[in-house]
Amino acid sequence: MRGRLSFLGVWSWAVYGFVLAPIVVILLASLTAAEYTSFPPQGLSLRWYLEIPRHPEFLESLWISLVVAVVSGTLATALGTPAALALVRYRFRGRELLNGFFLSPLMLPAVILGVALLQFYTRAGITRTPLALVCGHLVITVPYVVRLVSASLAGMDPSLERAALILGATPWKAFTRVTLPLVAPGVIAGAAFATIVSFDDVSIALFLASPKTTTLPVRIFTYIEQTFDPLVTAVCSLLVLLTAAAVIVIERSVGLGRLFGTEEAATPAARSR
Amino acid sequence: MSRPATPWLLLAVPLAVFGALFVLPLANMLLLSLQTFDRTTGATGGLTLNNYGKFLGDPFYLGILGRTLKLAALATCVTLVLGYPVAFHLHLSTGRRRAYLTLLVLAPLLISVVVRSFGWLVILGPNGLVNSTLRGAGVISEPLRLLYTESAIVLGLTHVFLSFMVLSIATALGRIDPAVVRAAQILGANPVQTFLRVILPLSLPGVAAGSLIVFTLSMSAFITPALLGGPRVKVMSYLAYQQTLLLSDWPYGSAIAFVLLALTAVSVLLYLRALERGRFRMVFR
Amino acid sequence: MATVELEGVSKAYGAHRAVHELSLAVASGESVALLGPSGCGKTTTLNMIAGFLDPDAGHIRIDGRPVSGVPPYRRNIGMVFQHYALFPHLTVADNLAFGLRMRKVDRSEIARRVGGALDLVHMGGLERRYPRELSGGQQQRVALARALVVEPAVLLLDEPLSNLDAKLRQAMREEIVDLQQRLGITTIFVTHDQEEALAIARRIAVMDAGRVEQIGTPEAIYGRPRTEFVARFIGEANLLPGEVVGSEPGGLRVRIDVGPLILAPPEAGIKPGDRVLVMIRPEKVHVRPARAGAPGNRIEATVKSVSFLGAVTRCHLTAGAQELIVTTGDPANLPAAGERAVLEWGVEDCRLLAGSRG
Repeated sequence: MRGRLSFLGVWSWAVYGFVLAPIVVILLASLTAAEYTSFPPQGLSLRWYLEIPRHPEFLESLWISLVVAVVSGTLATALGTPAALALVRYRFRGRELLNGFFLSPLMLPAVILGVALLQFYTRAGITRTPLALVCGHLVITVPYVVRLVSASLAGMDPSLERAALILGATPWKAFTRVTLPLVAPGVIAGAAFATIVSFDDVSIALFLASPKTTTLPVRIFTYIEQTFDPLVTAVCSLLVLLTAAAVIVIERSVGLGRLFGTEEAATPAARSR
Repeated sequence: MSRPATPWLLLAVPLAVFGALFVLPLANMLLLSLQTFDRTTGATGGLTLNNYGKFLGDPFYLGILGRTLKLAALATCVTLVLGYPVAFHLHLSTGRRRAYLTLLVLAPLLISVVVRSFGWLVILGPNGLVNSTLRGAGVISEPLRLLYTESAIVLGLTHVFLSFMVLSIATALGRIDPAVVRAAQILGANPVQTFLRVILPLSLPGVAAGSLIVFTLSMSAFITPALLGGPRVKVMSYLAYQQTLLLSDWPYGSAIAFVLLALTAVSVLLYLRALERGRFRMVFR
Repeated sequence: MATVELEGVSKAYGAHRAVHELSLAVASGESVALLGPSGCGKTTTLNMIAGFLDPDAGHIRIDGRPVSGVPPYRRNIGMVFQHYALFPHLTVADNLAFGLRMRKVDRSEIARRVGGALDLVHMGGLERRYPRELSGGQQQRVALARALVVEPAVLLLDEPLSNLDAKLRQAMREEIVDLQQRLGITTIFVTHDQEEALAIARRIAVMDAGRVEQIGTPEAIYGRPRTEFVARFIGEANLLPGEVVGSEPGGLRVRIDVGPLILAPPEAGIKPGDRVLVMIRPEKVHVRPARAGAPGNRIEATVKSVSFLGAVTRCHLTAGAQELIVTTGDPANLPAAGERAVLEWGVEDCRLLAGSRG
């Protein structure tokens, strides 16, 4: 097996390199001292990072992105968690259908959602407001919350709740003292994911954009469509660093592997399934 | 915990909100696609299939449809070829190493598509990594035109969606009973035979799921083809964007969006059908 | 048919010694069971014979040839896995054909041998089915057929019957014994079920904590266990601690801690002054109502409970701190709970084991 392992190893590391290349390239290119973007960068300097404050529109967009992300993330969690609870813990007619329904926005081309939302919100008169962005993002974030909380719930041994009930706990107590703590990682993961997805979204935000409601990714996108001077590489680098920081925080508190099912389930009963 | 009303109580608000934000706009869009563009009012009533006819009757637009399909299929194949060994490598690793590798596979998904695709602009651009290296090595004197080509789009799509393929396959590999692998070995299969005859077939659900995800995402991708293909190499989603935002022809834009949706849905159905009848259908039950 | 020899084989996982200097010789055509509780190292040993694990020390030889470095796919061994490990994506016929295809047997020969193997396990006609469509018992037979169709030199079975229900297990046991004898194939199997080992194997190696406690025929293991572990693991045993006080022409005189003097057959390595355990199987003890006794080995006890179990009735008694179990096929005339009784047994029905308590 030795020989095969190193072939796999070499191939894999080459692919990982491929995956990381664009990000690394941007980070390095942002350190250029020249007037234009090139790789390798001409000279090393932080001038373009210092240039950012002189373009307040980027900072404005960052702020809007953050606000919308946090609000959508929170709302998505508040909506998705009870839905996941209903879908996993109960059996009723239409359950499969509803499950699919909640997950369906992820199957749709983002462009379709963008177009549809633009048309609808214009009719509803709420375009050009952050509210439109939040509503639009809810459509693509709630599915993640439902999926992650469902996975967490499904991995939990249902007889734990029954044990609590037989020991004298009311359904509410059983939920808050037994289910919720065990499902917390899924809820937190869902919230984190929803926030990040909202923050990163371009497709929907692009259609709903207006001068006052341009999120950072959208501003970057429109900027790049015309020119790509080093300023935008600096902005992108900051975005990468910000996301990296968020990922580290999530990894420390919850652990990404567990979220995506490549690690074992948390309870022995679930593991023996 | 089994009173019949409870799930509906829990679902009431999420369903209402979600329905309003999701179903209504789509229904509205469907309606719009059946209307006619009017420069002053935006869209006028009178349901007609003109927009669809306009699209399906024009070879230019059909060409774009064909290209979108082609690029999605190519991206799927490339991610499969690149991603399978990576998934296998991940599957074989254990402990901390596995945790780090999983993180490496997942982390890119959390960085905005714009940033990731932009990176390719820097790599493939006239002053980018590739051209600078080739020029520096004296291989070329004029920069190669690598951007705004179909290959650039396939490259970008592969990059963006690779993680999905890897995770899908790795999960399927994890579900294979190790005893079955040992059974193959004791029956005389060397590592290569074991892989080809046992592991690969049993990992097909992961390959199928991954392919499906990558294909549908590639069909619908917008940012990556927009940045790497530009207005010159259009795909369906860019067309919808162009018509809706740049030309304000909402009815036509809506129709294009629905054609894209229909195409994606049909492809998925055909694919699933083929799986059901195929040689390894037993693996999928 | 091949012989299998293990010599001083050891395997450790970090600090945990799974197998410790194990030696075992299996003759050609013999069937041997590795019997022991979970964690005793029996499955590890089997996996080393198969080639899935390498021993840290010691040698394994198949047909006289050392097999270290030889991968599993070149050892020509047949193996039946605990959960059968049938290839889910292949039909029954293809499952069986797999090993033959690896050996490049030609098409018509494959078909013939597959058909023959399926008939051997009474599964003829099910060639086109998939494993998922078969019952547990059927899957087990297909697994067996798959292992045998390649005509291996050695057959390994890992807890082959543990997943079947009781009735099916009985039936399968007989089939396996029948097959093994008909084909005369060298067989090693692993089980934690002593009844299974006693029924199928010609010799049993009782294992505990990585070591072989005793190897012998079922009769020898049951009738003449050499350690406390073996006595307890196989069947039930009454173990009475005591001390050897003298040697006589008839055997060794032992004073049991809870009182009486009894006589036991001599045992190699045990001499006056040694601490011992007197072992008597429950079915060899006879219960008499309390009265002045006849000579012979006897002990007075109080009845704690009497359980009717169908074929036998089980009596639980105490004599001071000593627990005693008696089984009998004749439930009549047994004293009731709370009553006193006298237990008797013949000298030849007890054995001495080296004692560790005291």
